[in-house]
Amino acid sequence: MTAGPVSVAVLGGGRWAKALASHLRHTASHEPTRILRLLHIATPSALSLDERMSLSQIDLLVLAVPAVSVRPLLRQAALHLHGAQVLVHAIGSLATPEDESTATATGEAAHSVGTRGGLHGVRALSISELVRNETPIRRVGALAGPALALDLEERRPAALVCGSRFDDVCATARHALHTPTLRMYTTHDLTGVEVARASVAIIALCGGIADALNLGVAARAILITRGAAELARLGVALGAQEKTFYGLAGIGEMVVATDGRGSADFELGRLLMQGLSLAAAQQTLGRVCDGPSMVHEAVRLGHALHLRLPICSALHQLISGTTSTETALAKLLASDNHAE
Amino acid sequence: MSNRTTEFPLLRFPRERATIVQETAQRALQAVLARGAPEYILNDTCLHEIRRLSESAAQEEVKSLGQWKHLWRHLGGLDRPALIDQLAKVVHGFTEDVAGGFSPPVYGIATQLLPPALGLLLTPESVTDIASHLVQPAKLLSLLHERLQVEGALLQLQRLSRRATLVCVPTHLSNLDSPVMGYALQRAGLPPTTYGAGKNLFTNPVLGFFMRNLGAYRVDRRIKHDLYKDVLKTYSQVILERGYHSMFFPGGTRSRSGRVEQHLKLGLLGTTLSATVERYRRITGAAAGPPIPPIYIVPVTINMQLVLEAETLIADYLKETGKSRFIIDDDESTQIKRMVQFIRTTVTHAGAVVIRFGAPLDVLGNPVDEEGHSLGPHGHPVDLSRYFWVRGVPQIVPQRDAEYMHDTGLSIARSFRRDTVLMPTHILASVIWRYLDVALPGLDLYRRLRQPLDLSLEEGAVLADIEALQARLRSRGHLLGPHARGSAREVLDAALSAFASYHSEPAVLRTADGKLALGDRQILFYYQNRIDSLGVLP
Repeated sequence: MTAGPVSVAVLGGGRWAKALASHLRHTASHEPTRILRLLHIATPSALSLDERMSLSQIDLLVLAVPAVSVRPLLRQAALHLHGAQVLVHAIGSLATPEDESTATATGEAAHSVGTRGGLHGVRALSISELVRNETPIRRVGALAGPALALDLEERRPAALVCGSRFDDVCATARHALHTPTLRMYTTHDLTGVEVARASVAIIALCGGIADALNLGVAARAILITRGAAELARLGVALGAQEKTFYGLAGIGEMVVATDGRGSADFELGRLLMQGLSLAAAQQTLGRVCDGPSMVHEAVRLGHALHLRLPICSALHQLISGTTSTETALAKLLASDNHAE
Repeated sequence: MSNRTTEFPLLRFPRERATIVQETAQRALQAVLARGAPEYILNDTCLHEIRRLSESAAQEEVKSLGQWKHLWRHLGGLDRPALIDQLAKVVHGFTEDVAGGFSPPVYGIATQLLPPALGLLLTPESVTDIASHLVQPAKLLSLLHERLQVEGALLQLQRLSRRATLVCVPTHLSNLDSPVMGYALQRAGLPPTTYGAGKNLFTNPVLGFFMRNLGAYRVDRRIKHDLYKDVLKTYSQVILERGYHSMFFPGGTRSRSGRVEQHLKLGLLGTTLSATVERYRRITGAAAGPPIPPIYIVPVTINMQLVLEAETLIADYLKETGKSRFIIDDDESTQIKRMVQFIRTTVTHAGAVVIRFGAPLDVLGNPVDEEGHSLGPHGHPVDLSRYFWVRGVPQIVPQRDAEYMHDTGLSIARSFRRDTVLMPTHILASVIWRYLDVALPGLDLYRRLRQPLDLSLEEGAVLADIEALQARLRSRGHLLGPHARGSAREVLDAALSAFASYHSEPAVLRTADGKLALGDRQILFYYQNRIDSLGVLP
């Protein structure tokens, strides 16, 4: 179906978007039979008329903007998009069902939502649902997995999984993105990929804390495996498949995010352990962190869905200042033994 | 009343039937052969039929058990042309079995007979004095007019029906739904539709005669093999392509629980999408053939104050094993005595039935404007044809189309929730069921239905609860039917009187001391499920 060359647009000006665009440009220059045309819109917040017009000629849109920018961007572009197009997003966040300003006003989403994190509202709306609600595009997918911008830039081995209910979305994304260094896998579990990807920020934040406390490699392994199991419970309750959390989009990305390279949430966790308040740590970091809002939202969803989320709960108490690190850790370690 | 009875598509059916059967059989054969080798398909079909006919009684079968066995035994000795020939015969046999018929004279008689018959059915007081009503049919018709309300986007649908194919998808409560829909279409000024009816219903000689001659085609739900499904789908697609308005009950069967259907069966409905792709293929020249009119899906809610078969349906639902009982042939609708009782006592209030035609949708579940153009998010027009493009050419892509249909199903389910009209029986049942929840906390459904409980409720408290529920339903945009939108007192009286008028034991009753008491809890559960399924309760 995607045997012919496709036109691709990357929307986003961050490092991850630039790395994806550069990866695609490299493929296009070496294999023009796969990519007919590449359009990189680095400032999608203010689309020019030309840019909007050219979007209608695109077969595959790759969306890699901060989550807060998604809705305004889609509204600008919607009239130029159509049902023949497919869209994949590389946004590690769930969106708000309604206007973000309402959520922010209630203080529930006080942290800006960036490219990695942010579950809002009990009726959490995923980015793919937002695309469906705002544009005529029906065939949507999500990308997640152990692939850092740095890996893509330096053409080191990396992998992504494309989750979509539609075979042709997976096939188109694979056709455009797959190279010997970037392996592309596919799954129908769109919800799983989106929730797993959004959950990674929580584990990264926790990883930063563990790292600052010098808890060791085993603690990291425990955090990743038990974290994946915990977030899988949340994902399954939201309609995802458990196995997705144990694959590239879950554990795969968690391993990378807790490695200390490039994850803003990991750094945030480290700063918190230096005694900085959440606000001060975020200011010091100067980068978008979604871990805290993700934790908050995961706990809220867990409560609404009657789920046991010990890591998220302990982290929530820690970052909201209701408990000390020692108590939070002690609680985690003292929690009842369960069959794995 | 329709003034277009001389022009609707079903009138063409007698002339086109042979061609339709031939085209269906040919296309279904191609579809079947695309799935696998003829010997495997035949083997599978024979084994299915042999098993089915060994376990259940024959009903005008395509082949007898002996014939299927004979064919199965000889499959090994047939060469490919002979196998294809056998397969073609089998496919043709099933197509003939499925294909409906339409007789304009029978339609003429039916349209004359149906309104008074429904009038009798829905006006119990008239039965005691049939003779006078037969002398005064006008009175009967006016009573029917009062009892059965038809509402919704009728003008838009009438306009669309002249240049497009409408596919009505009603909710399904009762075996009365088909005749009620037939009448409602007529009242709405809409053309009659063809529809798939369970083959078991055709065994009733009177019902069978009318259905066979009024465009219904036969769906044998006992047959599970793929070949039969291919024939059914192809038949449905062929008649849609030829512009025959159709009707599917997407719930698949009557709602056993009384809940508004949310998990829809999309197999046959998917033919609206295939026919639409074929329409665009012909428009773009990718396929040859006469033009195909656009297709719109019209969700319809059938809302009844009382349901004829409620007792059997809910009992069946509550039986663990009964949940899989797909065909019920011993319910109230098959018992003359119960039918007469229903006729005599059912609805003692006006507005007993409300048929609401929802806003039409395109085959992807998008709303459409007055002219039928598809509308995307924020009401912007969208080009429907592009959803089916594969490198610029409209094509059927089964996996993609199944996912599209899944979304269409969600749109229809949303429409069902939005357009459900609630009756006093639903409101009272919902209110009283909450008392049961409080009185028997922590018990599962089955215990709540059986645990001895002497509940005696003050009328004042119940009236306040009814008012609160009405306010909640209104604030969520739900529709309240006649009497249900009146005062709490009106709702209570209408519901009590309705419950008392028909069911063996009323769900709620007034005791001698003026209080309210629990009656048949299963019936109560059945009627409260309507509101429960809308997700409006805290």
